[in-house]
Amino acid sequence: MKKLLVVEDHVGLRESYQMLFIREGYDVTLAEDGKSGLELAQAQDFDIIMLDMLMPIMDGISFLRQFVPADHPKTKIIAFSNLQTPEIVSEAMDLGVKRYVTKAVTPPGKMAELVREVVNEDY
Amino acid sequence: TGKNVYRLDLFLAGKGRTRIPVAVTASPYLVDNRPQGVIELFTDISNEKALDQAKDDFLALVSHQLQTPATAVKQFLGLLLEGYIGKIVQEQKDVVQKAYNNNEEQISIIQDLLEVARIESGKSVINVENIDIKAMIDEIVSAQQITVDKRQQHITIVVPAKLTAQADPTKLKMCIANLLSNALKYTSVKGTIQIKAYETESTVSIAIKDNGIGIAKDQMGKLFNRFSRIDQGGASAIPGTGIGLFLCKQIAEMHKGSMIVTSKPGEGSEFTVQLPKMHKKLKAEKS
Repeated sequence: MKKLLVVEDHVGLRESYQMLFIREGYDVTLAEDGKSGLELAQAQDFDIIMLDMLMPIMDGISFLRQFVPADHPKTKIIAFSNLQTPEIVSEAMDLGVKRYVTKAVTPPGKMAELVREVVNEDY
Repeated sequence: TGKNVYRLDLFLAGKGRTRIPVAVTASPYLVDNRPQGVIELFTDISNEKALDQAKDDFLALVSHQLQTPATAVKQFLGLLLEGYIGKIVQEQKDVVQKAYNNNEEQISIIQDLLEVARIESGKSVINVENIDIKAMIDEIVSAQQITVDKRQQHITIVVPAKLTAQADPTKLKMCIANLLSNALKYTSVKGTIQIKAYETESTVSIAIKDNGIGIAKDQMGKLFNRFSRIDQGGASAIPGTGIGLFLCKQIAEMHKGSMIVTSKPGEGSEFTVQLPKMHKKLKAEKS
């Protein structure tokens, strides 16, 4: 079973993605801010991290700056956010995210499909 | 004094490096109807500007705070609609679909408001890409197909297959989606809408023409003002935020393009977004 971490501060969104990814067959772990997400991501090897950008305590960009990909070579990160500022998108991509997804326009099935695509991609 | 009063907003240098926003109003001074001079009045508008800024900040904050729970509603409804939570009967599915469509409309209004807030604060930037116009228009029409079907309207699309434009895809889509939504709203049931795109040597244009209620001449001037709605016939009874056309004009101008409107009351309107073909300057600014 692939291990998936959802880092999302909004309780409703966190719950909806938990429901989706459990039903898609992932082993789902949840974090409600960047800091607790980073602690989990550094302590375990996740296959996929779904990372929100605008969060309290630590935002997505700070998470990406502190996460060391070399320590977790099989972990792939997808940024999902409604924040679409070109600078943030390009900085997130430069910091190694595989996709930058707009939550407000991506229905669950499409989100699951994107995650499957990324899981199956080679490095 | 003479009756004409002109107003100009500018900044005066204050103490140190401060800048004071002032409104300068000028009126001609006439004696026996002959101009003798000008009376100028300088008014400190710091409070007016601060209030304006507070209003824009509030708009941005509220829109952002609304968007997150609206997105969660979309995800939950999506889980139901797509069968993740088990099978639902058709009647239930129809109700969930209606809730989903209304939520989509809500999200699109919130995104428009956020864009207005970004434009007002000068934070809106364009990210130019090559856009396949036919594919973009098909996507926009497909997203509004439910309204088209419900109102039994007919859309014809006349777009050359390989036509491309250099523009910000999210912003151009927002503009065209608003123009189409207006055309559908202000055209009667069974009405006809034509979406046409064409190019000249220097421009790419996308035009949306309807045979709806049209716009009276006296309403044309305020058409592109923020939060302005036309006040003619039964138009004010049609729901809308009055930001769609404001956004379109701002988006066209950010691309160094323009919005063109022709209309006849009772016959219909045509709104055209005209974009310059080569964004050499924009590209240079980007790099």
